[in-house]
Amino acid sequence: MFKKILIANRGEIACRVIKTAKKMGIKTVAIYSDADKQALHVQMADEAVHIGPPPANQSYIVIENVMRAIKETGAEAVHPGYGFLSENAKFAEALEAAGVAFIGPPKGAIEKMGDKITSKKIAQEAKVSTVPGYMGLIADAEEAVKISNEIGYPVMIKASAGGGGKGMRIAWNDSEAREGFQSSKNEAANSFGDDRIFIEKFITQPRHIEIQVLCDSHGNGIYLGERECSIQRRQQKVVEEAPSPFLDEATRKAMGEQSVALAKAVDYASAGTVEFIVDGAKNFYFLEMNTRLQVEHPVTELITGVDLVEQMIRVAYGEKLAMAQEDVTLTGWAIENRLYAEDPYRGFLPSIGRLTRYRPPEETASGPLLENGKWQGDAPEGAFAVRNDTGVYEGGEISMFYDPMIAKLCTWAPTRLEAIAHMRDALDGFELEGIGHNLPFLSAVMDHEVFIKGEMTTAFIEEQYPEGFEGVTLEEPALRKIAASAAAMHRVAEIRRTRVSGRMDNHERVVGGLLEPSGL
Amino acid sequence: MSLQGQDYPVTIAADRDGSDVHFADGTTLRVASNWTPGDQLARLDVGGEGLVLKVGKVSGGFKIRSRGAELKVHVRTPRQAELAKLMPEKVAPDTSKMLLCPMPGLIVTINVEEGEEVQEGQALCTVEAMKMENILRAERKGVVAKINAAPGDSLAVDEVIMEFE
Repeated sequence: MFKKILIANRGEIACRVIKTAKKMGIKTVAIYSDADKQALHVQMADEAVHIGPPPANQSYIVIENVMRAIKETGAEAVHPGYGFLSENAKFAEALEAAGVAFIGPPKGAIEKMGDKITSKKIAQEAKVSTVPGYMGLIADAEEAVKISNEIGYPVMIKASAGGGGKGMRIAWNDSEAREGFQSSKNEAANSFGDDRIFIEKFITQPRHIEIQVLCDSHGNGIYLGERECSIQRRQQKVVEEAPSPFLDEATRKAMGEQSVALAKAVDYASAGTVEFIVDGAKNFYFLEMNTRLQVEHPVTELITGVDLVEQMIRVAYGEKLAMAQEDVTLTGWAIENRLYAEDPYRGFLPSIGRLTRYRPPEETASGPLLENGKWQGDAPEGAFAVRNDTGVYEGGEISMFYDPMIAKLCTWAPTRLEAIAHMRDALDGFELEGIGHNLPFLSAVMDHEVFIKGEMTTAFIEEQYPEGFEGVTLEEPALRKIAASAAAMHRVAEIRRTRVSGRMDNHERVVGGLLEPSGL
Repeated sequence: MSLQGQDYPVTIAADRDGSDVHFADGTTLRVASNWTPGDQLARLDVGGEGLVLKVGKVSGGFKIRSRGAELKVHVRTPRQAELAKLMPEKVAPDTSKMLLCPMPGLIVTINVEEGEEVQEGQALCTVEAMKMENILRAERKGVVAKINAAPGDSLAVDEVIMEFE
């Protein structure tokens, strides 16, 4: 096995990879920019190398800087996490030239699948049904408008190299198509250094369901069930779960087998995700393949008991998959909520600053991941699981340079409703101060009837909160409980106030006729 | 107790293990907790059921967050409550004729000029933050009176980008 690996990423995903590497007895190297000198991933790693100023395009995505860090530390392999260099074929090429293993798919697969235009062509050749759209490159905004009209509004304008909601716009008319094209192009140039754009039909009432695949370099491939990621805001996922409340066994099998076939068609070897749009009649259309570890991979780990990072490292080392398709079982239900530094009361705009208070709920280990001995970290065992993947700590800072995600809070329980109930409790117990964050919004979603019934589509947030989120209005019983609680707390606070020292003798204030303070 | 626009007259009786809160309609809720002043997270037992509240201090009461709701809870004596009813409501300053920067970020482009008439939905400027470009649009028809920012400016939240007539 590798002796030392470098993690070419930051934040929670760097911490996540370090946890598994430690479990496998592999030494870890972190890289950091000026803004991340004190970051958690730097503290957790065995070594850390500085690679440049805060903006990602001068540090984390500069291939030469990362290569220098590899050379300095003698790392044998690199895990790229997600975003940054994870789907950059030039990076995989540079590693190959330097004789360093890439903990990800072969560069050919990244090139073919990483480019949305090429990947769609390959999927079509492999007889996977795809969404109608324009596959060629688009020169300017006027051509974008013409193509949009040919496809018919609404259309989705996407950066060819994009992902994670960046460089993506939906247009309902000519002027939005024109603006969206320009914005997508600019964002793509800034974030990925590749400003090619394509346009496709935007399917209404869709669900976003993706299949996790895992392939080795000996021609074996399996699928580890699906993830339902329908609750999204501006193409950015907010709540994910596995399995999907919508799929039946036959659809799951069809999607899984097609995904594996597609992966094999590009000689895929690593963990990967095939994204589909599924309509109300359970027709599914291939969207894209992400040739990396996904943000929401924990929900799959929680129901399958497979540590995906461990599998990626083993595959990169050249090992054969230790399991076959019939060994994959889906047990219980897992839900993930993404905590963003985005203020729901201000239209979800990003918020930056210091985390004056950050106290996540206590983690508990349970379910298949614990039974297989693959639980990452040392949480106590429980009847249900609470897992919090994060890259921050109390007193740390959320800077304007990177993704505003604070943490990924997951729960696992035998049934979906139990998993939701535990998620509500976990969100209630999550203390977060100093920045605007979406905790109240997540709580509201967990209590939302449409979500509880499992009937959400990707339009959930737009449809249920058309005017934006303004907080929940509580019903009578809950209000009464809070009124009673506040009365009781006020009484205790008043008693405390009477005990302030330095008061005049014989003029003590008496609260409720009791001089001695009692419990609440 | 006054919260979310509703008043709940209550009396409270405490013993060693908790408090009985009596409402005006005759119902009673028993509250027990080990909360102490200053705790930001209150784990309570109310009427036999668990309840977790995030508690902040505001003058004259608490700021309480629970299940996606954010409430200001005012605790007043009967006389205070009577007088509070007579207090005028504070009106937020009128910012409808200004374009405020909705987040800390960088101005990428300004699409209008001073004196220009803008239509509802027209793009006014683009602000970049956290690698996302956000187009700010006019909420209604108007004329640009003054522009206070230029492309390349880094703005704080709520800074005035432009004013309208």
